[in-house]
Amino acid sequence: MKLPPRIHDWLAQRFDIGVAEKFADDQLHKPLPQATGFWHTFGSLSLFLFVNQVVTGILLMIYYRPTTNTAFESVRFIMTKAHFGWLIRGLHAWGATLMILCVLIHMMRTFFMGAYKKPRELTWVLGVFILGCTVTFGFTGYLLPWNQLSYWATTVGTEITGAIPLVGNYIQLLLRGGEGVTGETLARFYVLHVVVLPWVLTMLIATHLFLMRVQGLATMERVGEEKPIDKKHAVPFFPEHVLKEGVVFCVLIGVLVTLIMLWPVELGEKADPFVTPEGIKPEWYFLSTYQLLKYFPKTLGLFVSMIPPLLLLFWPFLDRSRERHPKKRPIAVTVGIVAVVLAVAFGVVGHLSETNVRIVGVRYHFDIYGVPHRLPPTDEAAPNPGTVGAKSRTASER
Amino acid sequence: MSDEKRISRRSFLDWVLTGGLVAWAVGFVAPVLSYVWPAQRRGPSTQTVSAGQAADFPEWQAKIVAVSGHPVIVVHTPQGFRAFSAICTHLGCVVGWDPQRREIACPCHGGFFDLDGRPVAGPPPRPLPEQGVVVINGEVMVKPA
Repeated sequence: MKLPPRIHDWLAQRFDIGVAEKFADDQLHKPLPQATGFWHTFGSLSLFLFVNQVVTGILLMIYYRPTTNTAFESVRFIMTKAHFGWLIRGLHAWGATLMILCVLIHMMRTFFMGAYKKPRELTWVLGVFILGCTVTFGFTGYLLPWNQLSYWATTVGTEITGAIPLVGNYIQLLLRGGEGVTGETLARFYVLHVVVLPWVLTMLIATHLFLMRVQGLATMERVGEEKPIDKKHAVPFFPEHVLKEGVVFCVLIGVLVTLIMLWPVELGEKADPFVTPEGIKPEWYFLSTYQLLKYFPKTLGLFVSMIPPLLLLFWPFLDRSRERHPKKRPIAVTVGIVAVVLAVAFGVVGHLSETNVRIVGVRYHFDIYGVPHRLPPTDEAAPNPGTVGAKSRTASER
Repeated sequence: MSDEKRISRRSFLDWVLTGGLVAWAVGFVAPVLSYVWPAQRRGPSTQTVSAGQAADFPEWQAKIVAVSGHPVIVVHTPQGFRAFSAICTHLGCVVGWDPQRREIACPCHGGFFDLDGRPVAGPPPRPLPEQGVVVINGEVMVKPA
């Protein structure tokens, strides 16, 4: 890739652009290991979705007003009056969901291919922080429409932080800006969502990418026995891998638009601090933690739910074997599969809990612990607690 | 004092500079932290709030009223009116009245409270704090917590 001669000459008379040209050329034609395939594109997809979040977020900020009297109305304005507002909000909301999904798949690929091992432990740790930051983005952004679901999901979510021993109440007060979820909370979440987190995530991603480019992609060879990449059989970053990424980007855009069209993001009812709707549930990526917390008292539940993220963070320092190939790492792979299965299972149970579901013609009520109870055919009313509060949909039912 | 324990001028200056930097950092961070700390504090409120006329409030029914900005549930029992904080002690949802069970119920995680505010089912760890309620000239008045 060359600059037009006149621009090149103009720049060359003022800067030593040979250094920049060599750097760009090295990066563009960097040889990648032979095993680099489509699974390796999920990191770039996450980055693409982050850019999507930034661009659509800036567009949403033009009409959004972060006060309790105007937040809901301004989102309704975006959805109904602003040209293509429904599309911009759809891209932002579904983009957030897909971004978390892509980061999770990217982490699973890294885990099962043993790419977190020496010397890439720090890249993995930064990746865990990127996941945490992405999820925090979701949590803070969820409140901003100021509707019933977002209000009560935030009330429950911030209430959980109060269970942290010693400092929980202080953290809760700092997060909420007062005792309850109010306009102060909305302003704080807005600042976190549009100013603090974007910068933090940008720096985390930049460092993550820098380390990835400096150390290169991991091969499947044992730790300490990696051979230099054979340039004859390597996959050039450009054009081979970039082409693969282009294909996946096109598929992703198709998926994103399909989701927006088939399951448009709704707004629901405006937040009412005096009426809790029934069956309030968090977004899908918090469902497994939400369900787990039901089985334990608050403080113990918080402690138990902290174990998986801490394990994730310190895993490269716990798994000291030199093997990378999944077939030669039975314990690590089993732990990984069990963790994924448990997360999905708890998530599904969390989704089904406190709902009535018809399975093969028979109606069941899933209680708060996810235990199904068969309902008689004539019994149309669900068991309690369905008699209290206004009817509402779950967060995951868009 | 032995020679080994004497502090050299260089290490003394190191300590002073490090201390100065720490003091500078604390001086910078402390106002920022105190700025983000919630500034408003509500003092105790003494204002009672009406929950409506007793004559319009049938037995075994309940109402949610706002007292000092907090939801309070008022229940009309055969023994009289009872009022409790309507914020569930589990995760902060606003409780409601279940007319079939004749209990206070939380819509979030299936917690139930009896007419004394004690948890009888589900995950709530503590009773709902009770608030005073009186009937004055036929009007149900709820006292602040």
